[in-house]
Amino acid sequence: MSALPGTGRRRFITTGFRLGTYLALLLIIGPVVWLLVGIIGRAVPHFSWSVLTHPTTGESGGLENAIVGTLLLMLGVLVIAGGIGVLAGLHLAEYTKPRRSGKESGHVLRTASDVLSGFPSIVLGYVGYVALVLGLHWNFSLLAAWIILSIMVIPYIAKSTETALRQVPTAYREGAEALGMPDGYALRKVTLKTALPGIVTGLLIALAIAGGETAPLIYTAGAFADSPVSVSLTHHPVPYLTFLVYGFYTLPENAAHYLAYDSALVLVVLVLLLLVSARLIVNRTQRYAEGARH
Amino acid sequence: MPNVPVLDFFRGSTGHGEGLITTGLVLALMIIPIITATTRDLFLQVPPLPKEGGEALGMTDWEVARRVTLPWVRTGIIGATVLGLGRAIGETIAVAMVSGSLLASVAPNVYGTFGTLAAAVVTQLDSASTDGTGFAVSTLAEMGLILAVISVGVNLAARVVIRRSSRLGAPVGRAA
Repeated sequence: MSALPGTGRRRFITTGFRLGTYLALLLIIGPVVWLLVGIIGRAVPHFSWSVLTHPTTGESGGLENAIVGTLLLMLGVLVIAGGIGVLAGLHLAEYTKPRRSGKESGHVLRTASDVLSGFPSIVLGYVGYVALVLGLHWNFSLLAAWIILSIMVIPYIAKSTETALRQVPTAYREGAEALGMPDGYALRKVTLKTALPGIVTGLLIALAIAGGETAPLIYTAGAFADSPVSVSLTHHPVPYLTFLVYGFYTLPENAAHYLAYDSALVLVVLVLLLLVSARLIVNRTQRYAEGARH
Repeated sequence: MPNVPVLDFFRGSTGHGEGLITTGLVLALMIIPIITATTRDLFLQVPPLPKEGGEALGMTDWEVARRVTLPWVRTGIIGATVLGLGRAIGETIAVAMVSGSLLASVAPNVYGTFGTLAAAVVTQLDSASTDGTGFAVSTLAEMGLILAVISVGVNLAARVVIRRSSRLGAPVGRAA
């Protein structure tokens, strides 16, 4: 930061600007702290560890089936969207030219990815309802939820994989070619291994995004809080945490409200775990990157 | 929350908090991350030499920000804000919970309840499927189509603007 000038008006304006940036920071941190305090303050007084081990029955009980359902949904999204998204990002990074180097290719894939990321989530839920749940007669099912959630996060995974792969230094790729490695071998052993932390970070954040979705799941995985978890792919609705928050806050029973607060708390903890591990992976691997201090 | 008089401004005269101002505040909080991330990328791509030259000439950080950095990032910031707007348009559940979900109405004042396209689809689809003629489901499909066209259009326009002024491109975020 530069030193303050001596004279009045410039000094006043510069100090005002610095204070303004700190005030903006406070305006962001304040509501986040207020949210967390509100959720924890409302959930903890009525929380007991049995909430995590009993399933929801009617309008009270526990969260066990919802937690298992959310984790099951995240697992499917990891497999389906992770596979497709990482491959799409690989294609964009390795087989298309970057933006400002004369001829750009990969227009179609990039534009399609941008269009897909702009779709509102409820419209995807509606399409899933009409096409998969009603049209293919799957009824509320795990497979429909997996497909719709994967469609939602694929643009994010493709973009983060492409960014991670583009950050691999060119020297690595050129060294691999100089040593005579075939293209696919160099890709597997050199480029992907170096970019793996970035790819894993993108996958973890995509899982956090998918875990917090409500609107598309209401009409593909069902809106029943007390259905048991089963591994059959169709004809069986899936319970998940976010519906408990949305559906239970208007019910008259106090037990339902407590369950909604507990569900919000579990969601916050889950998302925080995913984000903190993503951040830890980034820090761990950046320690040995070029130009880093360790 | 303590019952201080200033909070009556947020509650309005109806006594319940659902309305335009609450929804506006909630949505503003939700789009802060995407705008912050995009503008931070933009600010990091301003070349350092003009900024250091300004500082060498004795300009303070405010003057460097205003006269050197801001012209570089002006279009990008507008693009980032429109990207945030696109995200707020697609926001479904948060709006359904705090806006009151009053169908086919415009809020008469800043405390009035109102409905949005996304909130209407999510609250009405369940009862629309009970309509025998299938007309209600088609109506919701039309609303979804309009919502999708608006949201995709806003997002694409924002990304084109950001891509022109940034090397990294826009981050891909999700509306819930």
